[in-house]
Amino acid sequence: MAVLGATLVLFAGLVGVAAASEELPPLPDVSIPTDAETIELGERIVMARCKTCHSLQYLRDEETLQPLLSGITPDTAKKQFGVVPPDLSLIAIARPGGAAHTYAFLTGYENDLGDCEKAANRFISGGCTAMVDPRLSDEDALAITAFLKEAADPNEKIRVQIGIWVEIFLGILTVMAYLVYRRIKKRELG
Amino acid sequence: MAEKGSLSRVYDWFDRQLPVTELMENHATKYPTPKNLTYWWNFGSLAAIFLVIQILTGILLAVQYKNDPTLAFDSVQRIVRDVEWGWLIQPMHAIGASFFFLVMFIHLGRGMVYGSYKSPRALLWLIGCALFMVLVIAGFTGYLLPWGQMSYWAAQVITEVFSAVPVVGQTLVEWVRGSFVVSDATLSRMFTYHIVLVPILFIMLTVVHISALHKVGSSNPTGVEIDKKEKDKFATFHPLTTAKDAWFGLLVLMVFFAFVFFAPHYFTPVAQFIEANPLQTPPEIVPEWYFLSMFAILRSIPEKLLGVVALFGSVGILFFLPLLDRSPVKRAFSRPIFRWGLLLFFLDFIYLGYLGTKPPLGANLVAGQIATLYYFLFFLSLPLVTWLEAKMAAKKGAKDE
Amino acid sequence: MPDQKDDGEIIESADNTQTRRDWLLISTLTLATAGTAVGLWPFIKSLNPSAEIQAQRTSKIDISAVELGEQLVAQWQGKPLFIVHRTKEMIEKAEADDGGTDPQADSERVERPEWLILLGTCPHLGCVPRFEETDEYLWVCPCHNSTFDYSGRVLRAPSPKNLQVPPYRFISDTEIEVGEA
Repeated sequence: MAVLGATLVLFAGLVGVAAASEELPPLPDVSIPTDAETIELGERIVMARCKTCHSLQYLRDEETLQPLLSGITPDTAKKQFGVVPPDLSLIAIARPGGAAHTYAFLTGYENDLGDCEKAANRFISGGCTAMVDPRLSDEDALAITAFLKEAADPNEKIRVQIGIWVEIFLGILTVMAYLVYRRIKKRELG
Repeated sequence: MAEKGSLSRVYDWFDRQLPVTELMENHATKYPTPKNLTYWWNFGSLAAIFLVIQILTGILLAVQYKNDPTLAFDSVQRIVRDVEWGWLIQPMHAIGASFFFLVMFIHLGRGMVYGSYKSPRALLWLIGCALFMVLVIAGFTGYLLPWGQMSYWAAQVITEVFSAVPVVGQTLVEWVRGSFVVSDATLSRMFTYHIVLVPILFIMLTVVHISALHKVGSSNPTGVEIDKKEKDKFATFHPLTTAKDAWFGLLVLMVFFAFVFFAPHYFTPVAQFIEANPLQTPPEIVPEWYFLSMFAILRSIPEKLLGVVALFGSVGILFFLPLLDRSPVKRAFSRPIFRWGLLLFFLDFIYLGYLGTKPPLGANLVAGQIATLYYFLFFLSLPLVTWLEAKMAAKKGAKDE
Repeated sequence: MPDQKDDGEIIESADNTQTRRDWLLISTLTLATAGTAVGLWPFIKSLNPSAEIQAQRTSKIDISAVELGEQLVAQWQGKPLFIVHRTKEMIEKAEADDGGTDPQADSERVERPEWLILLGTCPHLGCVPRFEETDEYLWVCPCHNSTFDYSGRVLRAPSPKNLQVPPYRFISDTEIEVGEA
């Protein structure tokens, strides 16, 4: 059993190594709020500002149930900015570091443009971005991050809730099955 | 004749026309299992548990999934967000694949440590290797389906591998892809292989594998075959082994569901959450953890064709293990040279996996080449090792006299 | 007779373990069965129409463009929906009688007399009846020639029933919502 345990630990370690990311400054150690109020504030800011250029196509409008598309078409955006602004529905899990990266990016703008054409940001590979500094307060950046995290993984709360009960049930059943096995073993092997 | 209950009459009706009792006795209630099996012998049944999980969740995913590049990525998001309980079924399948590989690696490793590939179980081993190959195909074809950036570029790179074949290389690549690049045509065929070919082969080979196992009987930790006549050294499969498999299976399922519920994205690289873009390669392409060792072998060889031969050889050589290792001693711990060679082989395999995550440059490249060399040397040196061990045993025997 | 006594003791103790194990075994198996049943529930539920399709349970339809005396064929839950803007004469014809083999008053079949809203599938075998204005009827089914009057009631067999009226409500004078959430 000890060898088995060691195998599993080794396996987890190996996968952990595989997840190692590219070289960027260390992400700020920030805890993303999960309360409904902050998430709602974030949603308001995203809908009012970000959605002008960014789509959130895996989310739906509550009224029309249509995917949330950006205010400008991808073609126009491409002409105007040189790139199509990325969709935001999954952005909080689609970058190394996850939501912490989202927050770091939003607050990581440099005043000195350096060699960049439009904007300089410490938390993007290459250091340049086509998105101009949104000049957000830390509070707003955190609210936006909280909303985007929820948008990327909307089932997290229910998943954890149900998961706890599944684990408790399996735990009890495993112990009972083990006791059954022990009795059978005693009888069969003496 | 005594009056029979209606239930037993129904049973009799079936039993007269199907070998129900016969099958149950042969494979469960009277099938003899060595009493001294350790928990390392649990991984075959665990593989069966994960096969069932993959088939059940796979059917439900196939119902909702759309195998079209414009819709595939979207449909996976719809499954997770719009389908009732889709957020549970999708990660079960994805995490299930990782657990299936883990269980299979341990099962194969057990077979190597306890000489389960030796007579009378050579065919059993070969069928097992075939099952492992099917699992590799399942992993590869399934990984393309979510149509994320990593899906696309991993498939692009791996199918490009075939271009190394002399003369027909390019034709072969196009034959595999059904197109010039990984595209709509590729997705359609990989989907078909994944949901039709893979399950059919898997179920068929599993039945054959179990039939072969029950014909020759389980190996055991001593490495010495137990005479069938020594009845006291065997217990029936049911209830001893069924109870052991059940509780240990539940324990592993607890770990599995911990991943599913609390860390469903643990094995998913971030680039998988970006839809495939044929015009932009992600900054680094890292395959799923279970392919890392094979990936490292491929990359460590600078010559393209040789690299490809090594890649396929690394799995293919498993089939030749019964032929290469002719030592009559089954248990690795009882063999003076082999025991260390095998331990080093396992460490080498894990080290190759680690190297698979690193760019193949400088010291890492050299290390990868040494590790690859040892991977194959381990297998190819087995005749010599066996000969040396026989000599040592003879010498020791002479000294003892 | 010491032998017999020994035997008796052995049997007794064996019985004891048997009962205790049985209690444990039965409760474990019961729990496992219940767990499997509950565990399969999400799998079965996943085959329900997804949230995207559930959203199509009701449809909002703009009826402002339908001319007097004309029919609009809309879609609701993937089924054809007939929306007829009835003229005065049409209403008069509809209200004149209670139809044929499946009698029903026209007032029970409409919210507002000028708007007739029907499910466009023949109750016989599900073909879509053709809009064809004659003195006698308003629709004829291309499959088996069933005819339906100005209220969508069956006149000529084989259709056993009238064209069905779906649940709907007027949101405004120009828009209806069909279906019940």
